[in-house]
Amino acid sequence: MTRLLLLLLLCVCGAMAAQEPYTVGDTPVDHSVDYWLNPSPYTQFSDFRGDVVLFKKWGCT
Amino acid sequence: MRRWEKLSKEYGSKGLHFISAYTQFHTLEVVEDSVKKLGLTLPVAMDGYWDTRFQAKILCEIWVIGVDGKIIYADENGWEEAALEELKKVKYPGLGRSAVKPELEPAAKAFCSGDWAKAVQLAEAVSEGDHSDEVLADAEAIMDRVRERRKLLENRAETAEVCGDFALAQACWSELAQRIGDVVDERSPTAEVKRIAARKDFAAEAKARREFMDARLRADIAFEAAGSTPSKAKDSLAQAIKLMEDFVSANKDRLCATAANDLIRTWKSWQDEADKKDEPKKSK
Repeated sequence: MTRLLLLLLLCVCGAMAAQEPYTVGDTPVDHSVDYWLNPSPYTQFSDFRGDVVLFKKWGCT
Repeated sequence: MRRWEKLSKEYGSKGLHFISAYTQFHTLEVVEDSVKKLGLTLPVAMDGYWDTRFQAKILCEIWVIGVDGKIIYADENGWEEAALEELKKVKYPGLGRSAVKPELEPAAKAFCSGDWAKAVQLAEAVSEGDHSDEVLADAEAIMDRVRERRKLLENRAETAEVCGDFALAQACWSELAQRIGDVVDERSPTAEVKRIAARKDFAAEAKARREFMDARLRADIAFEAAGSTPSKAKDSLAQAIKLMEDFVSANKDRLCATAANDLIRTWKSWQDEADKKDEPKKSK
């Protein structure tokens, strides 16, 4: 059951503990997204090399 | 998010881009309502950013990614100043370079204004003239950039269509139609947009994709609500499997049913593991 809980926690929160958070100076990698609201042809960080990108994590509350 | 919309209108064409990821446990309907109320037109990722190194201490955290692709700032405050300061380095938005020889200035400007066909035409004219190697290299670089963008958009459109994401496929072809139009011996972006719109499965696939995303979000909500209580965690897993099985049963012929079945298999394997762990206790 402990393993199940761990797997569920990974599913919900992601494997955050296994990864160091991005800090200033890091180069973020592109991510695969299956579902976009307001889909755009350009949604990968590498699409914007030479320009500036703002990335935000947000929620309703 | 309203501030983002304003900034996008003011600086979008100057090389400032906006991507966001929704990372709270809500149904798709709640998120869609929120996006509508905010008048948000910028792209919002509904998945793909949970399990990443973008770890927000609180919502909403913002990362500023500079011209060299590196993070230059990360915080809930101060990001606008940092981004606008970095934006001063962008001379040719979208071109991926900060300088061109004066002979290529008109071509670079045409590219940045979104007229890729004109950019190629102008760069080609320079490349056919008697110029230094540096000038010729800049002309080639601009033509390469257009070729590279075209290939990227075509590949992205094809991948999206295979996955049933027709809205994204259309967005890519529309972008090409707007930037470069129809070119002899190349696929016509305008025709591709029309072809996709005319697909008989267009509406059904879009509806299924939406329902699949909603089922995934509802499963996440169930997992989150279960917390660390073992019996609740097991119940949430059963609930998630039921959600996804209901989805598959209503969408057997849709493209995303395969991904839904993969999730069901994974969750069932977790269930089996949990049951195995419980067995010794029962036999005692």
